[in-house]
Amino acid sequence: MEAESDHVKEMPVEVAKAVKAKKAPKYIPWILRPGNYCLVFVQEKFNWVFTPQLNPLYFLGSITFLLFWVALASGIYLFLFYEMGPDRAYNSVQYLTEGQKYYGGIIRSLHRYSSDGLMVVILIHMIQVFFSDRFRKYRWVAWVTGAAIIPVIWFEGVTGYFLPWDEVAQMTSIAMSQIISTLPISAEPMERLFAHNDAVTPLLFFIMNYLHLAVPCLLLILAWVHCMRISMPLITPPAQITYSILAALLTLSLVKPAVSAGPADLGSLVGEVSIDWFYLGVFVIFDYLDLAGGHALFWGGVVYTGFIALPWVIKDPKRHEDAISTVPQVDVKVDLAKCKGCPLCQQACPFEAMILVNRKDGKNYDTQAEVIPAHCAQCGFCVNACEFGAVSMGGWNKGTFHDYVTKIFTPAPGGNGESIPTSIAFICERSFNLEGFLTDDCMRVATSPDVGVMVVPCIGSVSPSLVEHCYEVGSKGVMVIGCRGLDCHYREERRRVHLSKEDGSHKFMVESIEDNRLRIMLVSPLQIEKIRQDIDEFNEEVKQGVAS
Amino acid sequence: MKERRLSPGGVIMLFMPVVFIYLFSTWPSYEFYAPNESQLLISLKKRTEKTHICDEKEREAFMEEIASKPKHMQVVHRECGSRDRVPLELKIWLDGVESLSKVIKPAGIRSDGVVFVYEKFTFKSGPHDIRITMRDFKDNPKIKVHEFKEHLDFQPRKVTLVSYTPETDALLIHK
Repeated sequence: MEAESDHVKEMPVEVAKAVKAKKAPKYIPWILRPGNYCLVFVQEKFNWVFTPQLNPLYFLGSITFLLFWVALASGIYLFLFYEMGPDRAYNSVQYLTEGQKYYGGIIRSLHRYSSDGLMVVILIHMIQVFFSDRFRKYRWVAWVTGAAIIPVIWFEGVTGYFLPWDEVAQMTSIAMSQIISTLPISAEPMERLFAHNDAVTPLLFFIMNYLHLAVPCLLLILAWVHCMRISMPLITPPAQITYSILAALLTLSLVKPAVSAGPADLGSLVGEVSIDWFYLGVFVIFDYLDLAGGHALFWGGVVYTGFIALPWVIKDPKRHEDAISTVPQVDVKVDLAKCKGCPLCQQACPFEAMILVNRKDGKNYDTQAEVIPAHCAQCGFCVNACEFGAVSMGGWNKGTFHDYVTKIFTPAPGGNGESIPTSIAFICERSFNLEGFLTDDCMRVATSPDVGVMVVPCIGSVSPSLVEHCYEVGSKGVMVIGCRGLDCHYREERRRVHLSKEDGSHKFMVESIEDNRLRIMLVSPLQIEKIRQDIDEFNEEVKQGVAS
Repeated sequence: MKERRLSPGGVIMLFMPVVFIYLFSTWPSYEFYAPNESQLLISLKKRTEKTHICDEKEREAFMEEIASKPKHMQVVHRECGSRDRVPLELKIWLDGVESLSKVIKPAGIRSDGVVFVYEKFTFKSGPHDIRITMRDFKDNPKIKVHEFKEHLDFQPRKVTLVSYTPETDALLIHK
């Protein structure tokens, strides 16, 4: 015991603090944990079927963009043939559907189904983001804009359903105008526009048509803001997924072409009609609950406000008490005395939190690094990216990382019976549940004491120089254990996709390192036993390699 | 790293949302109105009287006041009396039962616009007695009461629109 406290005392202060951390991480708020477990389970099943590189659940944002482009392109074609006016609108859409069956009809169906797909994918994306706890703190802008995109897309869909001027359009127009009339916009109730057939003028079609064209511009602005705080956003899915989705949409368009209902007649009541539940289901709910416009607006507003406010309603768990990460995740600081104004930290940051500004301290460099705390995810990518040790998080900079590794491979003074590890594993604390996996001091794998451990916020914070340092201080092998597929909480994998494109090589790989001494393991959180086996296997391999 | 290849199972799973869209893009259908329902719709706009109308004496005084002002301050369209207008009282009886009694304010911050009415009643189709009265809500026994009183045979899933035009100055069924 005496020897252990001496051992801790000798370490740098930050390293000593890290050694004392003993609890397993609880980084996800308790309310999200059951949903998170289900989500991981589903993602793993998808990984099994698709492989992690082609799991569509990791590309929902980019699939949304793809569907948007399909809807936009098909919409432009439909616009060319669309005529404004009650009879002309219905007839022109009928001409597209029936007269041009093999192109107009298919394009109309593509327009319809890509719009439906857009709504479905956005909702799945939202559920996934919510249960993976990627909507709070530095991600609130994406959440709020994403929440704004949903009603805008819905409104776009509703304006689209007006245009064919069939019975569905009639129902949609009356229901929508009833809701809008409760807003203090116009003294005249909007429903009066649909009181009788003569009241519906070509001007109304002109307005709705151009509204339907203008809303996508607003959507693009919102999408831009949505992605604004992330560097290198993925907006194009892999080719295989793109072609599969296009093929699926085309098949659906051929099997079940989108058609209009009977022509609208405001002198008659709408009876039984086929409903596109993705856009018009809300009107059915209001009708079924007999909610008038004002009530619908009120309850819709209450639900929507609560939805937007979720990032501020759901609080962090007591992060620092439970943290297992060796590196404390607190504010990132830049030491100007060491900063050379190079863009390394800026390039490493996945959330555009690190910026370069004009030099202020009079040193002979053009720029200096500056942190925007509100954008910072405290992932630690910038800390090790800085070759000069200028960037630090909770007192940890590049040098502290190296000190910690050195300490792992240094025998305790006086000797407490512990052997020096053969290899080291850098483990992302979010990759799987580390409870019971590590020794109490979190410095070794519990079942493989030969393997030293450094728990990091994300494997993106492990730099090539750190890996090289491990070899220098005696590690025979290095394992970098992170999240599977493209599911990194801090978007490290996305960066890798952009940096290495098709070959799948890792930024950890440097020419000076032999491949067989470095193992990147992107693991499933549901297969902890396999992780143990892989670690043991690799450790044995490097041991044998050394012996031979 | 595994080869990036989409397995047949993957293709099937990718088609799952397509099946979902296939189903819910049109199914199940929903019946907004039953086949035996009809609707009475009252949709109109009416300009009610001003709250204060000048008598001859007041009009003369007003004209004199206007004339006494410099030329550029003599507003051509300015009228004597108040700008704001009285509300409209609307009452509807269906089969002898009073179904609506409402006083509707004119539009505008100064209540100087027209009164808009949009009311609808859905009931079983067939013959029904309809009575609608409408008058400017003013304490004046001479004020005109517009009345619509008919025994109508409402056809299934048809809308009967009762409207008002200043030209006819009466409540009429819109043809």
